[in-house]
Amino acid sequence: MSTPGTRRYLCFYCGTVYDEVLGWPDDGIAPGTLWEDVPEDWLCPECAASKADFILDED
Amino acid sequence: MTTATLDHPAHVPANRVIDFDLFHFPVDGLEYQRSMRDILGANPAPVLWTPRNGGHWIAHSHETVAKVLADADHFSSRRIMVGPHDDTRPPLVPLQLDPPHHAPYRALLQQALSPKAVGQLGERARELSIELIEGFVTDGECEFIGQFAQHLPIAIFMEIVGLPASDRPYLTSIAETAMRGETEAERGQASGQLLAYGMQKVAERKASPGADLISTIAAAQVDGKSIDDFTLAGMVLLLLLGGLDTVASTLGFYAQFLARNPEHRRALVEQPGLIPNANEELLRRFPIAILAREVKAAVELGGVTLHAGDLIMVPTPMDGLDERKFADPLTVDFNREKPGANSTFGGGVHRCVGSMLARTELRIFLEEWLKRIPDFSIKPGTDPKVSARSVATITSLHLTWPVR
Repeated sequence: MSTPGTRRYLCFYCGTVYDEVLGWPDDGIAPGTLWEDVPEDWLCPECAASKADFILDED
Repeated sequence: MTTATLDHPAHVPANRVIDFDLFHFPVDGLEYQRSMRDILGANPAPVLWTPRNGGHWIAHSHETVAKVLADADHFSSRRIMVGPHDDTRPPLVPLQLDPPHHAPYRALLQQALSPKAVGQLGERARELSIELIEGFVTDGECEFIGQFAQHLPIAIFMEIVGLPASDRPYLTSIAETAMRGETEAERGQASGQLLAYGMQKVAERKASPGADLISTIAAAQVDGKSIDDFTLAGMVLLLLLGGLDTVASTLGFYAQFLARNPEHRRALVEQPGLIPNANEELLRRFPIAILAREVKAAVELGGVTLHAGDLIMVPTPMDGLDERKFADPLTVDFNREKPGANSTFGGGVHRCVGSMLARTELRIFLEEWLKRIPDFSIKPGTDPKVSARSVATITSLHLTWPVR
């Protein structure tokens, strides 16, 4: 699914999913936050990989 | 030995010198990581120096380990291991290439090891895992390394690269010698054998391409040109060493821990929902890789100045076992918050490209083994040992369990 607002991004290293619908409230990222608006210095909450290490889940 | 008796270069402060030999330090039983931490802990400074193995720095805190791995401008991966360096051998590509040269080669591997590709491989790993365990569960015992740890990840790897399962015993044997042979000559000879095997496969795939990773690499173009044989050799050698050795080694540390800790076993049996976090916690507690980097340009690190050409050892356990980052770090706590933020898989631009596959295989081991063999222990009378150079492994691990 690749419609802005409903996209999901997978951490390449551990598979953690960033879902735009859900955001990541624990890190101050509100539900509905588009991937491009996620701060560039945000790290994978599970394995600390960088934002650049997430890839679009196109399923 | 006191620091006063140890030689060191003029730019190394005497109070940073420690007598530590990566290849000959005493390991207490199977406690490789704890033993290293204890010995290095004699000097709490974040960066140390040892005169052993040609003389090298040691990153000794979570901050310095992470910083070295993240800073490719100052720390080159031209040299990735402590010990002699042979420039005539093909570099392990992309691991021993610095940015930006590593990127196109790394992209080739990333396609084969993406989360999507790993999802499909995971199903195969589960089938194989069940098949292996069912094969010996009624025996009440097994030699875990030979009968499981060297089968599961290696069979999956062999499928990725399209190698016949019948070659597994030969490949695991020479990979073991290449990594941990007694002498430099033995290790060099085994690396040469691995290389010759890999290049033979490259030649075969060039002549008759398949859908496997070696065929992909053999046919790939970088900057509009085919990859030359010297570089291809380095890529194949990295695949063979990385794919054959690391997950098998980690499985050994997982199994010995669970064999000796019935409460932890029971927690996972009774609450399988803990397994994903337990997997991360065990990875934090039992890293196996002792990396290194070469200093490219003078740089300040941990209160000392490293000079160009110096080598720094980067022990990945010094990140996950640093009490300034993880409270009570030697204790395995399956409920620990975010244990996965560590350097077990390296870091920076060379972070392990196969880590998603490794995580998946390790998790499947926990899930399928504990369903079938919830209680097991190390067989009395056996004496398992750690064999270590730059990657630590347990060479044999006899387990026993009640047959139900």
